[in-house]
Formats: sequence, structure tokens, C-alpha cells
Amino acid sequence: MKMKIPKTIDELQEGLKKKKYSATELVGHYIERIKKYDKKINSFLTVSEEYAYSKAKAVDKIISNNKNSFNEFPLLGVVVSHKDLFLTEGIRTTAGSRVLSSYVPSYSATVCKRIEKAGAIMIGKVNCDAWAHGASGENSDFGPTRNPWDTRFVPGGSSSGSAASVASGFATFSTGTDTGGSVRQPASFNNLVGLKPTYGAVSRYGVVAMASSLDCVGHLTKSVRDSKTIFDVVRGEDGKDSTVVNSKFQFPNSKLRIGIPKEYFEGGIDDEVQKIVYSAIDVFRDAGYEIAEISLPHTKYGVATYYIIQTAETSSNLSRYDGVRYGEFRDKFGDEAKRRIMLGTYVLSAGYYDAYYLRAMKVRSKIIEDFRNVFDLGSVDAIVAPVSPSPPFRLGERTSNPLKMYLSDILTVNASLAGIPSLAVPSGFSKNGLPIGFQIIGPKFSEYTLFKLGEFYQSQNNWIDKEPDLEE
Amino acid sequence: MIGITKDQVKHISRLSKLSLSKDEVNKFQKQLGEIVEYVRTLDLVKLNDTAPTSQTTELTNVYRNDLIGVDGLDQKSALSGTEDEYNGYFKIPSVFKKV
Repeated sequence: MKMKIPKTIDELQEGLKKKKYSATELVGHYIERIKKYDKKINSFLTVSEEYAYSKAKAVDKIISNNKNSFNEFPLLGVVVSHKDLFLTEGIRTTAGSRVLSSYVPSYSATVCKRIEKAGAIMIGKVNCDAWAHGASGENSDFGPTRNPWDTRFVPGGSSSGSAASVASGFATFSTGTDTGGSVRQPASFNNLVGLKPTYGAVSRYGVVAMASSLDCVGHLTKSVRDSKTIFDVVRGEDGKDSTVVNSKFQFPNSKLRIGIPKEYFEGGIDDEVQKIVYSAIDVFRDAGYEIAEISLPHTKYGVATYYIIQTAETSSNLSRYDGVRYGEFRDKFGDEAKRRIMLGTYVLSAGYYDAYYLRAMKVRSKIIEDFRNVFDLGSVDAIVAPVSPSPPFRLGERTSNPLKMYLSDILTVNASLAGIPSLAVPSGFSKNGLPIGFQIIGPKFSEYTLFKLGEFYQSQNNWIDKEPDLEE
Repeated sequence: MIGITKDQVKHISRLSKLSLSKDEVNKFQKQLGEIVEYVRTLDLVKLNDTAPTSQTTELTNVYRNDLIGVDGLDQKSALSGTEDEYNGYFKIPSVFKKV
């Protein structure tokens, strides 16, 4: 059966309501696509076919029993792929690393449970840079994922398979983690919407930890509206991640003021990226939003600060992998994990702690102060900026030079260090036909302001209607 | 040139419980050296009496009730990840050598 893959949750559920297809037929169609096209994309590490069919049957039953079931289950019938960093009970979870190549968790992450309870159907676990270390997907121990828009290029990382699986029409949405840009950058490289929520808005329970003061659980979708629907399902306390609080969210003012940070457009930012992001800003300006130039003077120190703090925390988190309770021994760590563990150990070691780690924690305060100055004193409601300094780059282009790869994160790490939310939104294509997005950054717990701005932007164009050609 | 020496690479690999080949020591010395040099750009930031930030939630001491057995793993599932168990315990590599 030939079936058009639904782009959004609304579209998918509309089809179920009108009986254009059953959930079982839908799952069959996704599985067929994965089998046909994923050989060249390599986005899935595990396809949970049997599980997906059994869930689909249950969904079909719910729909036939109760007409109002879609109100009760906001994600009913929606097909989701989970980044292989999220623990899924009974289904292998590898974190993209050989250390966990045979690890089958005995419990599921809070986020996966909540998504399932809301009616979604998990179709499989997707590839990522091992331990979420990377900006290209090339650090996966199970082979790189390729960008569905052009398979010679990287899909971004570390949520590489998450982005590629949604862009390829293998899932309606995907979960991801964002420690320094790992949801936003692959979203931007794949014509998708990617949310990094406020630190502490979504539980990390059951998610393989990388850098605990930075790790955030997000998701990738085609529309901002879907991003909001999923955020409403996953956010809030679960009693298992003590950083999560049921916070008071800010709701958008009628008249929003948007700041444009000049530092995000300087020094080595690709011309095409600049042009596309400036034209996105024009969309807001033309609609009457007030646009103000702002300055975040410590932006250029973000990557150095991030690669001290993050590696320090990583070295501690990865020390638990000793091959005793589960997984393989430490000799199975790949190069990037080894680099980060050693760098983190170095910056924390006697004689170097003050010069590196303590200093980085102080610069982190400066970066936070920069954002406070524009949000509180500068009365800016949100910031619009590019996500990545360049469009997607070629496979292999940055693998031999780790520092160059780290610098790919230059525009995303600062929001991570400050613990504030950011939403990546697709905004066009390069001359080579590769996606380019921008991000909307806000103060803590301003997700609904970001969604409002993002939804408005998406109402003004149809970038999400473009799809990659997988036949080529 | 700040860099990092071969002995330092060997030292931190021991602290990290990672065993490196000779080639790896050379490779990581170069790569880590470049990164360490780059992160030293933080020396340029004027900090005076800036306080360090270790986390951004502004929460302190989050407590929960100390209840046993709520949602926990039973022994069988706790042991499900290992192939090496004995009488309901994890079997670990020996710490001491037999003499």
C-alpha cells in the first residue's frame, strides 16, 4: 500500500480518526520505509518491530472503543524513535558505544514512559555519537549516520539518528539529549524543530548521563506545535531527578521584544547562514516585533568553558562503566570518550583544578550574567541567532581534528551553560540544498514564549513541506 | 606553548583506568595538548571576585521521603545486566593478587 507519511501529530491523528489507515497499517508503512531506505542513512540501531506492532494493535483497540481517546491520550498512535541514550525496558540500549553493545535495561526512562502513556508507539532506538559525544554523528561505535538531504554530509550530532529518522519519515518525532547543542544542531541540519528545554524542566531519570550540570532532555519534530504538545507530556517532576521542579512557566506577552546578539554573527559564521538567519529576523520585524541589537560579550569563551566543565563531569559519569554490573570493560571505549575522560581527569587533577575547572566555573557565571543583563535589564523577551556556524559539513571533514569539531558547538553551548531554553527552527536551505535553521533562546522557563515565536515563524513559510529524496 | 607531556598523558590515563598503547599516547598527547592550549584562552577573562557556578537550578538540598521498595528493582532485574553472578551477587575481578 502506498501511503503518504504524515508530517505532524495532527495530520497523523486526523488520518486515524478518518480511518484512512489504522495504527497497525501506519506502523507497517514506517517499518517498510525503514527497511527500504535506512541502509544508506544508518539511523536505527534497533528496530523494535514486534513491540511496535503490539502497541499499534492496542492503539487500534483504544480508538475503536472510545471516540474521545485522542483527548485522553495526546500522542495516541504517534510513532516515535528514541535516541539510544534513553533506557527502554527489555530493549537494548547502547548509548552508541560498544561498552553497552549488549545492555538490555530493566527499567525505562521517565520520558519514554510518559510518551508511551500518552499513546505513542516506539518504533526503535536510534544512532548517536557514543555517549552523546560529538557534533556530527561520526563518533558512534556503530558507524556514522548520514544526512538524508545529502548522504555525503553529516546529519549533525550527537542526536544524529534522531534527526535523520524524523527527516527521513521513519518516525513522527524523536527524543534527543542536548548537553551543548546535541538536539538543536542536528535539528538545524535536517530541516527540523529541536527543543532544548530549561535545565530542570524535564527529568533525566533513565537517560545515560554525560555532563550532569548541563544535560537536558529534548525532542525533534517537524512543527513547533508538535514540539509544544510533546513538551506538555514530558515535563515536570517525577521524584527521580532532583533538579526537576514543577516551575512556574512564563507565558508570552502580547508585545515581544527580540534581541539579536552581534557576537553570534561575527568571526567565521558562514555567509549563507548569516543571510538566512537575517531573513528570518526580517519575518519577525515585518510582523511588528521589536528588534534590538544586543551584546553577549563572553560568547567567545563558551566553547573553552564548556569543554572544561563538560569533560570534568563526563570523566566522573563514565567512571561507573567498569564492566561489572553491566556492559563491557573500559577497553571498549572509543577515542572520543577516551579524550573526554582524560581531559576531564586532567582539569580536575591536583595542581590543575584552580587553573582550569574552578576558572571555567567562574567564567560560566560571567556567561550567565550576560544573559541576565539582556533578559532582565535589557528587557528582551527572546534572542534570535544561528544554531551552527556552518551548514552541514562533509563526513570526515572534521574527524581528525577534535578541536575543530568542538568549535562546531560555538553558538549552542552558551545557552547550555546558562541552563536556559532554546528552540531550533528550520529557516531555509543552502545553495547545495542543505537545511539551515536558527534558534530562539529565552530566559529560564520561557518555553511557551519560544513556542509562540516559533509557531508564528512557521505560519509564514512552508519549509517543513520540503522532504529529502531518499530514492536518489 | 602550554601543551601536555607524554608523562602527563600516561598519568591521567592511569587515573582514568584507561590503558593506552604507545601510538595512542602519541596521538592523545598532540590532540589533548591542542585542546588544553585552546581552553587556556579563559586566562584572558577578567574575573576579580566572580563566584563560581556549579549548577543553574538555584535549588539546594532537595529531599524526598526515605521509603523502601517504591518502584525499585528486584534482585533478579538488578542482576540482569551481568553474565557473572554468584549466589545472587555480582562477581567482580579480584582486587588482590594471590601470593
